[in-house]
Amino acid sequence: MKIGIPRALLYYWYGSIWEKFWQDSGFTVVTSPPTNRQIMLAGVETALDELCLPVKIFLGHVRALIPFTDRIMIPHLIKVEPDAFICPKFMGLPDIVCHAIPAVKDQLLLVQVGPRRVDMINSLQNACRHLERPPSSSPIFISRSIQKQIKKANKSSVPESPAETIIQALQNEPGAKSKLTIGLLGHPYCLYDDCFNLNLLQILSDYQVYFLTPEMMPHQYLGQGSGKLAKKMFWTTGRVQFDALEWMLHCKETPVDGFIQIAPFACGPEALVSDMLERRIKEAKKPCLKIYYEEHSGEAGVITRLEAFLDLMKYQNPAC
Amino acid sequence: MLKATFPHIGNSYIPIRTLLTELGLEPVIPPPISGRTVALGTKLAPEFACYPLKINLGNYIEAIEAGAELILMAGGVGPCRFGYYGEQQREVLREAGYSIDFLVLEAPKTHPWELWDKIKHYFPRHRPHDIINAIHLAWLKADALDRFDRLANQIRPLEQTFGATTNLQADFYRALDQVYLVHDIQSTLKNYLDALNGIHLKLGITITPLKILLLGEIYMVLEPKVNFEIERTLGEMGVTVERTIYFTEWVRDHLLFSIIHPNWNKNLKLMARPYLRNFVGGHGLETIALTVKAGVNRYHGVIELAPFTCMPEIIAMQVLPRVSRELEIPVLSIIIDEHSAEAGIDTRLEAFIDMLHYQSQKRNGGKPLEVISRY
Repeated sequence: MKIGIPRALLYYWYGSIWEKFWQDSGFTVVTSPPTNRQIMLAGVETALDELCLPVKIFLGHVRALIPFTDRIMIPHLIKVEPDAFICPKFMGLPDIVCHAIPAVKDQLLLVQVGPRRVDMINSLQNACRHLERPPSSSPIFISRSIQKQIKKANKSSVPESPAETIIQALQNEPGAKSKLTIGLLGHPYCLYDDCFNLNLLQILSDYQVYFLTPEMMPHQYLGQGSGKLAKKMFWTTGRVQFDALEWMLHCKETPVDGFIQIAPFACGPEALVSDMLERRIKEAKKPCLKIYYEEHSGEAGVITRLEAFLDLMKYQNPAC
Repeated sequence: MLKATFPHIGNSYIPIRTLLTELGLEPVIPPPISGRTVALGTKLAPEFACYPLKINLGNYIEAIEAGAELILMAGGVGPCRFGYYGEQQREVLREAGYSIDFLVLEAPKTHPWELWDKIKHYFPRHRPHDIINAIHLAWLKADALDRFDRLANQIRPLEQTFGATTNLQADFYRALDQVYLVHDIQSTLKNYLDALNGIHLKLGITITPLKILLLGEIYMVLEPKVNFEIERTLGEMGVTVERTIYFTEWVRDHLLFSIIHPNWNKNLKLMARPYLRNFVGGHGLETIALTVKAGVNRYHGVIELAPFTCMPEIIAMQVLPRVSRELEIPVLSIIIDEHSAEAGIDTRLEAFIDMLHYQSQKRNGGKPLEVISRY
């Protein structure tokens, strides 16, 4: 049986765990190709106009997978940590998919994480239970083996997340030619989807800029920045950004020269989070560029703004 | 006395004024929402924040200009953005240079009195007797308002003199705002309900007017200044509007039932189940469930109100077309933000109502119906 995994939304965090789990359980895994213009347009024409672009892209990936797979895995991520949601749209994702693409209904494979138990492996195991699986594999055994690997916290044995792979491919040496370091803040599916952000990481890489993203943050910073908030934030992606900001502002080895915030047009949580982040960046007296993306964004516009921003930072930075 | 203010939501300023007065604060009611309120709020708020947040900010600033020293605001636990409004607004106000106490009322996490212990010192009169009295009076007023509004929505489409119900409603609000005794509240309600029942109705109408269910995001439904008085507009077109959200019901469900009876919304969940399998924050689930209810109970139509970028309602909007198709219930979704204009909303409403008339005519076997709308 072929299981399709859409390369969208939080695939960039959990993708390799999903792939490894299904592969180890004896299924053939088909991951949709990296987002391209065609996938995006397919999603845009399927979805309700009001939805944000990442969800539209997700729908595009689902459509791209339909002909090649028996089942399509839809991550129904209500909560991935005990006291925070991700976004209402993740909570309604299976229904959004069902109603936007009625044809996919029989092919759905839901992996529900939360609201009570927030363990990813456990949820995968539950989803696996309802499938006809090859006799050779026992999902319980497999999940235990993966869990052990994760518990060891030995980075090399845990599959590297797709986000990390992308960072490694594009990252420059710190303090390379341009001597600029930029902190990128945004949701993982905005930062690492090069069709969504119009090759932002590639452009930065070409300009010899060293960039930091929330996914590069060392684990000890988790909960540090968001812990300083007067009220506990109830969006995981928002929390991660606050932690990352704290890390970027206090990172000694690679002091950050400026920040770029990336958000989809009309993103709900980001409307409040990015505004609060921006205020903290201003307090730290760092330059900040906020870019909103939607399906009509043009590459030239983004490049112009980016170049101007980088130039400004070079003027400000005496080392350049 | 400490001057306290709070954001507007519909006519809730009447019971909240009583509550604060009884607790020994001097309530400063923000001036009614106007173009200036919207402009002030929009200037300070983040661009993609939802509309209620912007209006709240406008309210605060106008109240501060009127001398308020303390802002009271409700909190929440997500995933809807409303839960984080307080923190966001506190930061925005501080950045804009307003130094004011900002008190966010959060649901207690450890024990029920946690919240009260935290906020007690703001209230000069905080003996148990005072609190019970304050809540009792405020509840009576809120209940009176909701009862009156319910009946007004039934009477308005049938009134003979244009605007009679609306005028009476305004009088009632004013009268209720000025009484402070249990007996007076009850007699005011009784008098005005009698007056409302005494409004001359159009005679000789044999058909029942169109019946529409109004649902969606709570702020948009409750605040007439923001939804361009949709209840009045529809009522004057000859349509009976049934609002799904009332202040007293909301307080009862979310502040009382959610604690003592956690499964209070089981029926809603069951109704929404075929279309939406779980809670999505805000009123998303309610929107679907109540549309199902409207379809099953043969309402003529459903109008959904949502602020621009409202996450739960967007999910509902993606699901609604199928509910609408399967249960044959016409649905009109209206998204409102600071750029919406009354004429645009009116045009859409008129077109929608016309369509409903044609449909009910068709269902009636093609017989021409006596259309009782006024245009």
